[in-house]
Amino acid sequence: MDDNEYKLNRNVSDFFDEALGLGLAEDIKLSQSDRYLPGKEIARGGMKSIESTVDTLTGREVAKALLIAKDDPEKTERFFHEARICASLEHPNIVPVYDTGFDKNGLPFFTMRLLGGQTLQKKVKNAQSSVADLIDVFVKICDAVSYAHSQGIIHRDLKPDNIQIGGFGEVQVCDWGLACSHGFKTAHSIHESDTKEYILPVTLDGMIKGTPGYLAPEQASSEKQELTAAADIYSLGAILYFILTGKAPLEDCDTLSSIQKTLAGDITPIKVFNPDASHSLTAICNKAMAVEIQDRYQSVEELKNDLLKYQHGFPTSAEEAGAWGALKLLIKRNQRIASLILVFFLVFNSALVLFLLNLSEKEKEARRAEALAIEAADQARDSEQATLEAMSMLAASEKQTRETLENLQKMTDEKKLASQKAAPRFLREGKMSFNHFEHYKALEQLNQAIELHPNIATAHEYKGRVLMSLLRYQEAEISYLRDKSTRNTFLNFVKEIKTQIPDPAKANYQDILTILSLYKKYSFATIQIEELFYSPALDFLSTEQRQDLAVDAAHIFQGFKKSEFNKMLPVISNSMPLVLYKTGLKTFDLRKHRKIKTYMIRGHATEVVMLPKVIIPSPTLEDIDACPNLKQIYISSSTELDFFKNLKVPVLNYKDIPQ
Amino acid sequence: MTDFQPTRVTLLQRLCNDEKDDLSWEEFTDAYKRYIYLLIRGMHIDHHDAEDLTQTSLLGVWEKISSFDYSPEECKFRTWLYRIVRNKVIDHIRKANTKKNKKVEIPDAETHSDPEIYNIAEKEWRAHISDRAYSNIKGNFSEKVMQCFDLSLEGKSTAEIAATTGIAEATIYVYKQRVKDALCHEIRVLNDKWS
Repeated sequence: MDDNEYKLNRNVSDFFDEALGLGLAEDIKLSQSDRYLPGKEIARGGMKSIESTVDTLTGREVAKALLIAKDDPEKTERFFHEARICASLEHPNIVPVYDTGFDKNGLPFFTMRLLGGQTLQKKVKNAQSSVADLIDVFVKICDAVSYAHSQGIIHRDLKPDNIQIGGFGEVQVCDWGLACSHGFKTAHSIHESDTKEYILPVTLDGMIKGTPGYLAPEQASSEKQELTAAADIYSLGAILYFILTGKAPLEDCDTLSSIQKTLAGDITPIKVFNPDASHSLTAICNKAMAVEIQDRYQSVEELKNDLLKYQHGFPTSAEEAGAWGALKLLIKRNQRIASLILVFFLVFNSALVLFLLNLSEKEKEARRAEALAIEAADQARDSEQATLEAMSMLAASEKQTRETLENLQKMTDEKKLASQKAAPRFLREGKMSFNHFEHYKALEQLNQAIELHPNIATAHEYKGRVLMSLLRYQEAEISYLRDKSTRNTFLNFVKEIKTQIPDPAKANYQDILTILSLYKKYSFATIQIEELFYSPALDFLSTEQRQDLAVDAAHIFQGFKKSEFNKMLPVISNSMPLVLYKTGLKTFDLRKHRKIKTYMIRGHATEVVMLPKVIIPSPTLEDIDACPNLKQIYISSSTELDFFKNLKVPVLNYKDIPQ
Repeated sequence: MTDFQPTRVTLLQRLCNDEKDDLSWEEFTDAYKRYIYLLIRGMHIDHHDAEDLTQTSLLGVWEKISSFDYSPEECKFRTWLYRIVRNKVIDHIRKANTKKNKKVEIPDAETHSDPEIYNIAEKEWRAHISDRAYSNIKGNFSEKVMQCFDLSLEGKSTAEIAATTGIAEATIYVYKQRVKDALCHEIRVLNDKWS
């Protein structure tokens, strides 16, 4: 292996960084001297030529202005002065300067935006745009000049050739070659006496700076005068003149006479070239081009505001419009509304006329009608009285009806509410009635209770018991079925008895015995037997049958041997006195009992009653009342005597019972 | 603007994509052999061992290059390469120690931090590429021109060079500039190609 392979000259290393540095920076460094490609001349003036070229750094196309007389130091100075002034103005309507310097041939140059499109001069001469569009352009020119003035710069060479209009509405004021610093900073300080002209000692080849026609009188004058913004305002007026007429002011004159005419203000009126020119614009133009500075607009802003007023259809300050002029403009601004108002006016007026004509005819008719009406009115008054009365009556009755209805409604509501509460009361009363063996009454009350509140189980049970004692077994079964809580004994009994007594309504004595046997079989309580014995369903029984029944019942329930009624009487009285009901018995001996219902004593036959041994005999009193032929009552010594004080019947003690 | 994508992708990317063949081995050796040698010498290894280690390192990088995650933005290839070389060197020293049963101090390369590695790797790379660029362009210029340039590299002023060579100062200036431009260009080319 060759050792030289590894040899190294470290001196070269320093170039590494230089070489790599930044590629872009290197390019820029290298290409600085020939940054702009050779261009093509697109315009040429007295002092400079304009080329379109490519900036190799940014890669964009630019316009490059080159000083023609490169060896003239004054012109070189002047040239760079222009570049500086232009570069200091940053406004969308002023052409921007990008770069300045000497190119590789040593020529002074500056580059600026390459403007497409046309100059205003060409645009107007080719009659490509309407006046309205051109006024828009003109407003932008005013903006640019106004801005320049605010920066203390006067253009001094404003003319249509120096206005570039791009394809997309961009407007740019160019060629600031004559521009100079004015020394004022704001539009308001325009009159300051110390404003000075800082014109460099540079003259163009000709005697005058500027272009005849667009030149302000004070510029054209041979007297040395301080130039102010008013000179630009005059030029702007001249541009407006050109826009309106298509001709530069004093276009047809030679330089000398044009200067004389400028100084004299002898400009061909706009109407001569363009009879249709707007009165407002003509006025604006005339004011801007006034010979005397104080007669012109005092600032570009003022001029622009007048233009905007014109654009929006308001009277401008220049035309000194009267009321009529203002009204005309008002109508012009609001053409649609104005025509609508006119149409409305016409329609309204004609309608009014027609209406008035109609009215006079109607008036005559009305007079005639009036007489008739007075007559009718008298009649009407009478009938009106009657009607009023009838109506008041009607109203009264209507009120009553409403009240009644309301009451009814109220009652129904109340009833509904009450019924919910009343059902248990009816049930209670039904139970009570049944306790007093008032079967039918009890049935009625229980029915009501059920009607008010169908879900009271107890009511169904009691109803079933009532029906059962009335021998209406079919219905009793339904009631028991409805009472879900009822003991099965009742239901079973009813089901069985139905098979044995198919038609209980026609039951005979034998049937009653069958019923009693079943009562015994189902071990019904004494109360059930009482319910049956005191039931009106058994009223068909004769006294004799009752006595037989008493004997049979004693046999069935107590197991006593059957015998004659009279023989069995003491036993029955002691064990089961209830069966003695309606047996024609005269003397009831209930001394053996303590708590017992005394319903059985009721009846015409009863004459003597020996009451059970109770302390408070009040339940018996009712039964005693039901014995009309009662003669004697015997009570125990422990029974409260006070309860009987209202009775006519003599109340005696057990002791008094005759043996 | 189509050559905005740097050409340097070619060698490394080709290798990373496992497109290894004789040609790319040769190019790889050409580009990195001396660089690796310089790195190893930088670790105080003598010329003889450094030559061997350069070979083993080249092979080691060649084998492992597929596992290198190539991303030109981060440009970590040379740092990565430096680590492989360093490991080879350390291995070598350890082996030598056991064989000869004596203690040779492991170079401080082992303890280098990342920025230090980066600095060393970059410094050697700059020297390597610049020198190669110089060799490459040398033949394009006449001896006189190169003489002027070499003298300026040695730090001689234009006046001194003029005195030595008898060439006008303005001409020397132009000569120097031409070589410098060519050299810078070649450095850029090589750096793009091999990084």
